Amino acid sequence: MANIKTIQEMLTRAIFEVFEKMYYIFSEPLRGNGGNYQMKSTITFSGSANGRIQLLLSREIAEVMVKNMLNLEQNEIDLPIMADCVKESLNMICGNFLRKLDPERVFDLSFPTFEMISDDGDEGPEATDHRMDLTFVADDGHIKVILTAPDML
Amino acid sequence: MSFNVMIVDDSGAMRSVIKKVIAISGFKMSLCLEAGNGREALERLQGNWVDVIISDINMPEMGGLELLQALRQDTLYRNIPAIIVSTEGSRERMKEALDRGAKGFIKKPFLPEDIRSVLYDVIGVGTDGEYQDDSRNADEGDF
Repeated sequence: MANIKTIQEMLTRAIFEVFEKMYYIFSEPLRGNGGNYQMKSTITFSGSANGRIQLLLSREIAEVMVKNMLNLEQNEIDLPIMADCVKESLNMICGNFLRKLDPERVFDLSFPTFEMISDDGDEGPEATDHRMDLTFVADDGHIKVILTAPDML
Repeated sequence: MSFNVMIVDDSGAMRSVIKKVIAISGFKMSLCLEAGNGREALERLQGNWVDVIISDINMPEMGGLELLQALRQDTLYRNIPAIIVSTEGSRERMKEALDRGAKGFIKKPFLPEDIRSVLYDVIGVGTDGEYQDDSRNADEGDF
């Protein structure tokens, strides 16, 4: 199994690839929590490694994702479209990361869930075990990805 | 020459993107059917002919691999070329898709050129509408 630094690099590259290729959003890693997040998507995976990835986004970033991906005007963007985009982005991040982690074997991925949150992105000390938090800043807000994987971290 | 396409993905946003990429790549579509999973795809195929199916793998009710299996078992649909577009890109999964009859595999996230290139290889039609020599891209692509 890859060490923590390698896992962090693989997950970071997966996040960059998804946001740059599909949404034309360019971001940079950021220390700390970032900002406020209004949307959260969660996916679980199982296979040669098991765990969960959560994606936290501000509404502004989600709107830019939809605009850039689907070429929609502001008045055409609604919550179901944003939820669809956010879930699909997490699905791609997870799949891309797992391909880098183990290119040979199949992982089973759950269908991503989506929820609106009122959260500053800090889930408290009880959730810090076996978990990696990655925060990024883009022109339109912050992106946070949380990997929880007891057999990796 | 224009052709009929079916796009199967449980994400409406992803279906829209794939449709847009095909259009801007210069392929002429006379019909673009959409389905949210494999079962819907089979239902929509009834009474409609398509030249190529582009499908995700991980979908509710019936996934892409099951769809490939169902197409292969149907004498009417077994020769419709299918391309998988998926986040799942392990060698084991790609082999599984190939074994079930997929003609191409595109990993998400993708660039527009990725879809154009695989479509070009699989359906043998260029963006100018001319048929291509089958041997032209024999060594290219994931398979």
